[in-house]
Amino acid sequence: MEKELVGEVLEEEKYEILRLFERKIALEEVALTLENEGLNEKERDKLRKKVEEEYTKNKENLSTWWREKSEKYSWKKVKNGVWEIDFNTNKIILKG
Amino acid sequence: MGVNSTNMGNLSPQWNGNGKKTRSVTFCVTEDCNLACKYCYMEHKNKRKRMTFEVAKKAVDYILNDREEFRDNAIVWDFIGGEPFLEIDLIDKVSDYIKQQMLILDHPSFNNYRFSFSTNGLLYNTPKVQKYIRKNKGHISVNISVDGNRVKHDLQRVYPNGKGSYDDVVKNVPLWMEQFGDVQTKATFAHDDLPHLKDSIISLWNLGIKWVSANVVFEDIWEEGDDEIFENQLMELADYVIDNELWNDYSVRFFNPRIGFPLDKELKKDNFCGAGHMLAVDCEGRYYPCIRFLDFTLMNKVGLCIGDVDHGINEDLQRRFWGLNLENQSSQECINCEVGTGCAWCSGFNYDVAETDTVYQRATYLCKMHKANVRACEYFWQKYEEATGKKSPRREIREEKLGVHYLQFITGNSITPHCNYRNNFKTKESMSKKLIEKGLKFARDNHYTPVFLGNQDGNLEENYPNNIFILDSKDKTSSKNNITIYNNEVADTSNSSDIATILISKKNIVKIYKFIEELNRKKRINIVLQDVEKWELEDINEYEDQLRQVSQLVIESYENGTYLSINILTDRLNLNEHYGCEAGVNSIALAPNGKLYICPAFYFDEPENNIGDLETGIKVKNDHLFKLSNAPICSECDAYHCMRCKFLNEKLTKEINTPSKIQCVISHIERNITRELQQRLIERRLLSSVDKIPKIDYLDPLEKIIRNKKEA
Ligand code: SF4
Ligand code: SF4
Ligand code: SF4
Repeated sequence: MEKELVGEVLEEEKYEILRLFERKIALEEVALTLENEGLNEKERDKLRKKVEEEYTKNKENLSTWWREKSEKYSWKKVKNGVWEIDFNTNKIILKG
Repeated sequence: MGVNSTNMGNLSPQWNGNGKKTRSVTFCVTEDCNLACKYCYMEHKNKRKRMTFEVAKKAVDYILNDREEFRDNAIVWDFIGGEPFLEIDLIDKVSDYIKQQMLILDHPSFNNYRFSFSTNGLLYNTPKVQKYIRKNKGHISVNISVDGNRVKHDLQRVYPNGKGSYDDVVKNVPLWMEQFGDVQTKATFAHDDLPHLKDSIISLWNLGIKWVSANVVFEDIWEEGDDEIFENQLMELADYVIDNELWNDYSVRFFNPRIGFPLDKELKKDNFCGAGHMLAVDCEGRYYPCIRFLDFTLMNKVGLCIGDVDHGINEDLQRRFWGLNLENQSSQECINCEVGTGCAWCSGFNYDVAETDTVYQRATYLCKMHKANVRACEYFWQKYEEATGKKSPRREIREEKLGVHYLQFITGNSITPHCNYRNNFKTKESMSKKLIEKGLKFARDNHYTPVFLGNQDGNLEENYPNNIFILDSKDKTSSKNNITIYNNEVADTSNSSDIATILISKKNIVKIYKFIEELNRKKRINIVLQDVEKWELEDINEYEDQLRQVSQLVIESYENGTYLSINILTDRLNLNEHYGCEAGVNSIALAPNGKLYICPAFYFDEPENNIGDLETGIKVKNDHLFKLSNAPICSECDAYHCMRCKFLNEKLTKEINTPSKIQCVISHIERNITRELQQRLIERRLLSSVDKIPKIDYLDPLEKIIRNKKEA
């Protein structure tokens, strides 16, 4: 798989997506607690619903971030390629 | 000198709350431990006390719901003991509750949290702990304490039956590294294990633990000679790092390049530890400013409780921490300590040993150990520079904190002068190679950056590359960083250096504009006026005229974005305090006779007028006169760009802090033409209109001083 450096984002922009990314993992990890004994049926259903809703919302927010930033910075794209961000350097890498 | 990217001395990159302000909350889930470490600060560990889920739940509810008290948007949930993994079932339940509640309450920390563990590692590979880690993988940090090599670790970290725990811990290290990558451990040293320090750190590195956050204990246990053992161990470790070129990938905190400098204003207003900005909860649900204030961690005092899960935090009991800083808890000796940065303390320990129940009395039992650490750190970074030929991070930090100090090498008696002096020597004597080497060692040992004046027929730049050279324009040089001197003529402008110094004698005042025009492409031009003591009124008038013409060049350069920088015209635009020559303070000169001088001018004027040599060091008499505050005329003057030449002062007025009239008049003409230039730049919108240079009615500040005195 080819890798190419295609851009860079600002520090605050990096944190925006980092938080969305962490939220995604947090939702996945909270989903693992849904079968816990401590919850009654009602609480369980309510929590499951919230996890699902938030997960969908977060997914949309992640896509929006990529769309907006790629438009703002006009990153190169290729067919079937994906962009990745390096959280240490704020650099955007195209994998294709 | 280039700068190397090295990790040595740093801690591994810590999680920063994803850019949000972070609060740390510590749950002491048990006071029990499966080890009985000899230096453990938890003095009264016992098997009885464990936290219940109800207690933890109340604390979590309080922390997540009271947004007034807990405003931070990122939280580190820290689980500690005793040994926390003894209570993995409870931790699992509490962690799940925290996650659920953060989500239900839409708490901002749901996007920014960590579960953090400090463990002895014995239970790390158990199925329950491993299951927990898998379940929370994206949000966990684990620190396993491996204390060094087997001997050192087993000296301290023993089972209750006295057996060492090294083998049982180390067998879990590969799994830990596999799961968390570049891991860090904390190794603590006390009197008994100091002789194992070097081997311990190397052993940790060999295990693959590249980051070692080592420290020495705060307690009053240090014996006579411990500092020497410590220093020797660290120096041997330094040699090992250098010999094996480990500085890029490995780190031990003892070689932190930031330690051992005087404290600046900000550090004096800071508290070293975060007590009071963290919260610790004990097994029974009482709140503390940090784990080191819990009852069972103190030897002499009862715990400093600031509330509990049923009543919340008593703000009055927490107030003492908000104002706590270095200055108000330290002695004058520490506040003014020459090597104070990085000298650590723990507020909990301070409280425990203070004469009264205060946190405002800093314990300093590790004073001599810190000083030994600083000496060894210094040794390491010097060796680093010798081995790599690169500027060390420590030097960078020193220059940032204390300014750059230069040692000028007058490499021969026939050099072209570079400042307000004449070289009237008839001899051709050159500085010997031996003296140059000695001088370079002196520079390294005393943190001077070498600057070579002259090139001894082109040999020096080749032999000592990466240094700064100040050379006559007839000497060829390939470095942009060098400074080229044009001695009353600008014949060849092809020289590659970016900085030009033009020497102007009285008869060449009339050529100033022409010379500058020819060197217009240089990044920086310094004009040095020679024999000013012979100037007469017509010279002054001519000078003024030339400066006006040069102003036009400056304006054009601002218009086309090349921004000509000339000491006599543009420096004052950007200054709001005196700049002045740093001779004798931040720079000294070494002459071919082996003596040191305030600057080369003093050598060429009178070689007897030295300030010491490389063996006996520098002794400047009455150096308080170098300070602006002790220069009565200059301190009342706003010709901030003026060099305030100490040499001319002494030569013309016989006082090193008192300028002659002609020096002041020349500087004020420059000041006033700069003022005109500033106005024109502002009119053309090429400069912002802040810090306007005021109009004045004197050319010699002494006139103003005398006038003011009379009026008073
Ligand atoms: S304890 Fe000693 S080394 Fe540390 S700051 Fe005070 S005087 Fe300096
Ligand atoms: S102009 Fe005179 S008084 Fe002002 S700084 Fe220069 S030497 Fe000192
Ligand atoms: S005292 Fe300073 S300004 Fe004067 S000749 Fe020496 S270095 Fe230059």
